[in-house]
Amino acid sequence: MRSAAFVTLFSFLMVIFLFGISFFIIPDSSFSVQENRSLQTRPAFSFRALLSGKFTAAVNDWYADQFPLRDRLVGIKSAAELALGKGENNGILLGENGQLAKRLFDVRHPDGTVTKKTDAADREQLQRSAEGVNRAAANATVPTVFLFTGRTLDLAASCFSYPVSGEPIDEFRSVLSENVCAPDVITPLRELFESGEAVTFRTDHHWTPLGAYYAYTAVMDALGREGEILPLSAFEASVVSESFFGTFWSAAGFKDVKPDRVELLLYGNEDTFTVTEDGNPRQGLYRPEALFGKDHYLIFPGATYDVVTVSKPGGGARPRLLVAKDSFANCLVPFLAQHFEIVMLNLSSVKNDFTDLTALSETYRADAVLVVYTFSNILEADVLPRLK
Amino acid sequence: MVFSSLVFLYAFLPAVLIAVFVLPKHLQNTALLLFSLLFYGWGEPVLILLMILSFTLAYLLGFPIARNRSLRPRRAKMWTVISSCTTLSFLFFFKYYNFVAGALSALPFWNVPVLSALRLPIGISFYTFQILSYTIDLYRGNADLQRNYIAFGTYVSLFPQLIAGPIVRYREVDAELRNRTVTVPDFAVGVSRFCAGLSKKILLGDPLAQAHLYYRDLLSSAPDTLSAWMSIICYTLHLYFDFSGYSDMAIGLGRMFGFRFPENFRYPYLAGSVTEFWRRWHITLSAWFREYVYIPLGGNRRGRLKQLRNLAVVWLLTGLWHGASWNFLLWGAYFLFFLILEHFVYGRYLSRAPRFLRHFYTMGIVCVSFLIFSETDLGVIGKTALYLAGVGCPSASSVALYQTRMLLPLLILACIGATPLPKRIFTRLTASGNNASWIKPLSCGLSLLLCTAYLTDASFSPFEYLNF
Repeated sequence: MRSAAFVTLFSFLMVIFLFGISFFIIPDSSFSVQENRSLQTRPAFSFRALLSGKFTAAVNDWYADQFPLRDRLVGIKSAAELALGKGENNGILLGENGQLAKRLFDVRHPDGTVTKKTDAADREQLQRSAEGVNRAAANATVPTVFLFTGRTLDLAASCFSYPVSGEPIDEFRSVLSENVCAPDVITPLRELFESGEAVTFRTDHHWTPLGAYYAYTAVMDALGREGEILPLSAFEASVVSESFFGTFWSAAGFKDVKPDRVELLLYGNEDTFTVTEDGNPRQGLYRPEALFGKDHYLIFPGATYDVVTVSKPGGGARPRLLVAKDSFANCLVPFLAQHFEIVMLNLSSVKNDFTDLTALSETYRADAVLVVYTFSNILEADVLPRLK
Repeated sequence: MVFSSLVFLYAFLPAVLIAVFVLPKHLQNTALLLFSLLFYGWGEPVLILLMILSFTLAYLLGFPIARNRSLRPRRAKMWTVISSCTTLSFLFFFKYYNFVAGALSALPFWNVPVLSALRLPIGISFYTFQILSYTIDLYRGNADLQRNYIAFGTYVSLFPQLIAGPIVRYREVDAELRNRTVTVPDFAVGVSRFCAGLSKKILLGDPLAQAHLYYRDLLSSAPDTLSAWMSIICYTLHLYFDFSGYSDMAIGLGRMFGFRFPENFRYPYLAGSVTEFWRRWHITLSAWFREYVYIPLGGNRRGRLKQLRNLAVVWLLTGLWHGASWNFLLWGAYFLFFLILEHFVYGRYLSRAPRFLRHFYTMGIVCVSFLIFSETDLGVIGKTALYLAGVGCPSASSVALYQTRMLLPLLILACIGATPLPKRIFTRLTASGNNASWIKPLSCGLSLLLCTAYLTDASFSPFEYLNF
């Protein structure tokens, strides 16, 4: 009995002292590649910070962010959650073939409070968003197309036992007035996914260039330019990455999920385009240096810049398309850029409000307006209700 | 600071262990006091002064009580009242002032200002009751005067039980405050108990809390009967694992430092009646109220009417002790109602009923009680009660069914974990000397590692900037 007590004592002390000491020995890292965010480093002490509670909070964060073997421990936790049969970790479902999908969303209530992590769509938010869309469509002076993209869960529903309900999307669409041009891309993309086409990434919440290509055909159709649609065969597939771990993977911490492949669809003239991001021009539609970082989706034009223009040399005569968007448009724009001079405005911008589409289409002398917005953003961000 | 944090486990605990076991015996209380103040000040850097003031006054006022208690009992009583009122005044002001002010302002001609800046100091209800036990026991002659300020400060602020109990009565640790020894088996018992408590809190309590919040959110947007029941079942299980886990950790830590704290939980969800439930749930609080309120009021010795009054006082106070709002008062009254029924109406019949029926009856009452406990908004309580009865909502939505299916393994584990079965299996496995030498250390180490993984992941918050 006594020897058992000794070993218990020893193993306990070993764990707390080993981790405790190595925390101090291992130098702090300032950035987590896996999570794509800055980490808390050793906080500076001040009495003011101590009294306000900020110092102790920062030390708690410092410990949490710099803890030895952190990524490995996160992997242990997600494995434990899977072993418990939960089929998910941190709200990310693990489906067939390593397909990941975010399950829950936040709900913003009219009083400003946010209900975190729920399955139930907020009906009032849907109603307000649809009314915003109706208003913008009624005010529009140029052809305006609304492209509401689905969550991964809506497209890849067949991979999960989770009961995906199309009800909220249908409800949202049912409130849209008749003059709103909003082609349904969710249903065809779901069917394509089910027939085995890689239209959405497995580890990231975005669609793939292939998924975006199908959306491009829908947009061209809606703009009455179906005759100009470039066939898929006109593009050459080029695998630029086979090691892309997206946002779902980062959030879930599942270690056994294989990375995604990024396959661009190239028309051949991509290098001739000029992309201007918040005033800084660069040559080429794509940004290959993004492949050196963690988030390979940044290879597409747009990223999180507020105003991005995409133009072709001598393209002044081409029609101008104003794209009010979230990040899904970044993957779609390379196809549209073959036909239009493009101005992308980031609807999620914290510095600028791009919701007055009517005024903006005049400012940018747009010939047409395309709104690209994800269904989860409709529920989680208060942007569409403000559209004009 | 809380036990279930990386800073506690991997910085505070190693530091306090080194300090206490390296220092000579006569300095151990000083080290414990200083570390306890650091532990408390970590979360309450300002209101720590209130706790120090509170125990300093009780310490000083202990002297006149002890001096007068044998020869001048009336004077001793006066000092006891002064000391108790001083201690209680802090609790009243910080915990109940705004509640009373709000209640009075609802009456005509009263307008008592509400102090919105008032904050509830962490653990004030626990340390106030500990201080009171010293003052009253001293007056009654059940405890000796503590002349050593450091020892008394250590008793009140001792970090293992400071913020969430168990409520340790002074006389229970008096001897240990003066002289204690820690043996290796003692320490190992403390380690196992601490790891068990940590696992209960982190591996079961916290996920169940998340599940409760999930169902609660679902109830506010798309209610169904299944979610209503799952919400209170998850909360009921969560509360047990959270609270009893914390008590286990406190008892384990106490043991590591040479203190034997009283047990606080004895498998409450196995109870066959509400009366029995309260003999198994938060035992130190019930014991405190029995000893310092119920029995002094006359207990059950002065007729049925007085007993009813005494029960009412104790249970309304028990409700209010948990929080200053109407739902806690209602919660106390709810238990009072069933306890009275069991005492005076159907207790006899209940004890003859089949075991599963008694259990079902008790758990039904307990689960619903925690609905009242968990919601401060009486409107939400009423609405959820209707959903529980299946009024005004479908029986089960597809997402609620899915969530419940996914939670089933955790729920089964939790239900088993709330019985003595795991302990029995563990005891049997480690009964033979050979097994004991590896199963115990291995399970302690593994559980600590797994808890660390869960704690690390709780801080793991990927920045999904492209999601906007």
